[in-house]
Amino acid sequence: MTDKRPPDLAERAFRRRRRQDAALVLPIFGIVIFITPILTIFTKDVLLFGAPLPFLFIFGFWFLLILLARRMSHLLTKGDEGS
Amino acid sequence: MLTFNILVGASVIYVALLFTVAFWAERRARAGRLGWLRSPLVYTLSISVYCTAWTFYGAVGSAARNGLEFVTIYLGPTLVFIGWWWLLRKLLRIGRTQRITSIADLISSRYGKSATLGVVVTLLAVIGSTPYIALQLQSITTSFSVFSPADGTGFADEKVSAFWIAAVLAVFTILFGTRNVDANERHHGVVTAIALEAVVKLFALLAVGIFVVWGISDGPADIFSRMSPDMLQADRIFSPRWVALTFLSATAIITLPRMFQVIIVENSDERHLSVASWAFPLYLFLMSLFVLPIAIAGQSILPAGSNPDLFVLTVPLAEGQNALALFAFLGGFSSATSMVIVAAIALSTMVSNHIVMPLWISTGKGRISTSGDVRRVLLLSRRASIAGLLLLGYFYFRLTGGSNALASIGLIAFAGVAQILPSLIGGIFWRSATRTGALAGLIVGFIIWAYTLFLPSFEGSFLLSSNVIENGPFGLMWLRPQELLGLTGYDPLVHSLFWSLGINIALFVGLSLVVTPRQLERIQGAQFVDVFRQTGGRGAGIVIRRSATSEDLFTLAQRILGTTHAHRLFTQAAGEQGKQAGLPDSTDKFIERLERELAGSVGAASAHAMVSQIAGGGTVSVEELMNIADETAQVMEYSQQLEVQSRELAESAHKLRQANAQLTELGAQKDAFLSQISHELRTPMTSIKSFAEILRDSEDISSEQSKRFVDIINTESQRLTRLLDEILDLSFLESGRVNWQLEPVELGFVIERALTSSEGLRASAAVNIVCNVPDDILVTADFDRLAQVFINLISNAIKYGRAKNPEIRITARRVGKIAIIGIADNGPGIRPEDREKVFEKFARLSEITLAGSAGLGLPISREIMRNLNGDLTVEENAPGAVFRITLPLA
Repeated sequence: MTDKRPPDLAERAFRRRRRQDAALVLPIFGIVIFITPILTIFTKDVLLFGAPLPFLFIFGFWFLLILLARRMSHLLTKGDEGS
Repeated sequence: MLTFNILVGASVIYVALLFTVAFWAERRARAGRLGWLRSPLVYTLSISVYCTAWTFYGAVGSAARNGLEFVTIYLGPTLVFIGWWWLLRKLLRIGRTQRITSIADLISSRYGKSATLGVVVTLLAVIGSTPYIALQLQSITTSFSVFSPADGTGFADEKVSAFWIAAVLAVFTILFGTRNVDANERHHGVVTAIALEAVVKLFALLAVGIFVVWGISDGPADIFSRMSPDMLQADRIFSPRWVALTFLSATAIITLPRMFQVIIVENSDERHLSVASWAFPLYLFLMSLFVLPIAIAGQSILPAGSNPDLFVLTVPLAEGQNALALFAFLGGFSSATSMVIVAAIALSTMVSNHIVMPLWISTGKGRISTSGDVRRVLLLSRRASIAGLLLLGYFYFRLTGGSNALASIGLIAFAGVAQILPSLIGGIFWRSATRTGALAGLIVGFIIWAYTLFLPSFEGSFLLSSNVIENGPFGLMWLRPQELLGLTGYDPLVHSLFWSLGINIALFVGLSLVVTPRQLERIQGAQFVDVFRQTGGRGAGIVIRRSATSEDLFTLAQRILGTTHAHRLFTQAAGEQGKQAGLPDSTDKFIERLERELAGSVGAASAHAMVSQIAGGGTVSVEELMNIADETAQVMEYSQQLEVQSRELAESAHKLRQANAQLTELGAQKDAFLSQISHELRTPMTSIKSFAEILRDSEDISSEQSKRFVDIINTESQRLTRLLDEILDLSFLESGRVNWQLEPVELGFVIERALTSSEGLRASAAVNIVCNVPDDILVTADFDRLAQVFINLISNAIKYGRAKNPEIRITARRVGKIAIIGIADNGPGIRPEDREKVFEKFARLSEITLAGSAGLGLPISREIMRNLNGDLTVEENAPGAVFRITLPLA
């Protein structure tokens, strides 16, 4: 993303705070996916594209979490420099 | 076929490579050319000591036996790392500001630098880690045995090879792990070697995985089609065990001593953590991606009954891929050695700082004061602990080697160190957490863990007999280790975790709420919990008053840090205090800083004990405790003060505006008065001047005419005089300097006097006076002033009440405690809009009502009446002008 910093300080502080909140939400999202009954919905013993669905579900969401964490980490460190 | 010699040769070359890399990294570090050795990548790779031989080989075994369950061991750390902003970041900051050397040091430092807690956590960690080290030794020897021919010839004894492996690892760890006494200084050599090992084990597993998926079978679909239908055990996903395992692995990444060592202690830059937050989960993801395919391949191509824990090696071997098998062997070797090395460093630091050091201080040998003696004791004890720990691991392996007990020790160790979690989380997020609570929770939780999980895992061969495990001690069924209080039907791990952590947390929280913490605990608690609020190093202003001579402090520092380091530290401190030479003053701040420096070497508790020996125990004053008080409260109080101030400002601004408006109005009134007064004075002056000029300049004036002119001049002069008198009188009245002679006055008498005074005027105007005033009305007033008011009103009535038959009616009556007097004429009256104006000074009224000058009579009269506690008003709805006077009765 290009650096589109709004000129307003209050707006910047608000955005930084929201990024930090998002950083707190991410692990909660992971917990909801991996250790709540939501897991059982997607882990029926069926095959999808030749691979078992539970395998695809767990590894798929795992990878998604990693991508989100990477994005988050960039946003947070950028926020640090901005402050 | 790989021979034993090739295997040993490869291992030796690999170990030699590790030594070289570590040595090279140390040299670069000492030359100050760290470069990419200090990069986030190396940091992330070093965290991978989490993946031990147990996970390298065991994950495939677990997948073969329990389906997808193996991912929980990786999901827990993933969740902790993507939530780094919550927990790891705070731990890291605390670790850096407090110079924490180990997990035991963290707990001990948080709870008032308690030596007891340090010992408890250290013992717990050693008991939990020793079997784990044994497990690594076993995995290496087992992997050796895979390559042995079926008849068992040509291979040395497993136990002998295990001993040599332990010995080599001890040498490596001592060489590169105890170069510095300051545990806070990074072990660059070790970390770099660990990072290399991380790369080797990742690529080894990926290579085997890729070979399995694309070498043995035709891609993912093919390998999954070989899967036996019940292998995934999808119905067991999300069981209590699933949740417990995820939780345990998440806990382990924080509380395992070796993980704490690489994540917190070895970290050199907080920003590295933000990279590791996604890179380490990615590493785990790649490590586990091919686990299931390898397990499937092992089950489909190897004969039934093969050990699934060794599929990583046996699958390539069965396919004749010797080079790949060797690579996989090195991967497993890397996993095992890196874990042992880091665990040994972490544990030796804990043992030397929390067990050896306090013992050494208490035996009194701490008083020998030769330079660097403590430093020598520290290094020696650390080296001895490393050797001791590896020897312990080796003996453990000798005693239990090959049994199932060892294979399951991974999760059991996780559950053991998980007992630290409540004290750790409570310690950094909850200010009220106390030492007593942490100690009780840890000890009881640890005992329950040992009783319900650790001891039963020996299956009757150690301490607990199988009879006790089956039927409970002394036949007490409700005390059965794996079904405590009759809680049945749960996995032993879940059962143990529930009881041990549950009671641990209950004791920790309960006792923390009951017991009052000591001062040092409160200070440390505030510094840990509010670590992000503190700027400029340690909590500003919180200093414990102590006194010691600089010489004593220098001797102490010399003993621990060595002469060179101590000298550098003291010179720097002296420079900061503005001294050119000599020792720095032993201010509280300097003692504090020195203690922190020493804590980096010997741990917070020992450093505190040693500094206190020479500087006294130290007390904290009330003000200093106040400083620890919640910053939020201070901010709130400040903003309240600001609010009050701004309200006061708004009020006074409002008052000022009002006063300004009044002043402006008064100024305008004064201007109007002045212009009016000059106008009034000017009229008679003009006529006097003009008549006087005529008399002076004209010579043919008859005497009659001149007499008339002189009369006019005289009249105008009198009017002028009267006007000036009135102005004087009014200003006199308004100044409030009049002495009022208040006394009972008979009203009828006053009116009679007024009528007498105006007799001359009345006669000329032929006015008829009707006076209807009872004789007995007594009022409180000043006689002369009241008479003045009546004279004024009567003469006004005579002058302006012009009617055909002028008549003035004067009445008086009592109403309650006041008398009301009316003076009415039968003239044209006053127009309603002029009724209040008549009381203004020099008000311009219409010509008809008050011809000529309005004079100051009425304003003066009203002023007098108000000073006499009465009033003067104009009656409404009357035919003529009716003035009403009210006065209090006597």
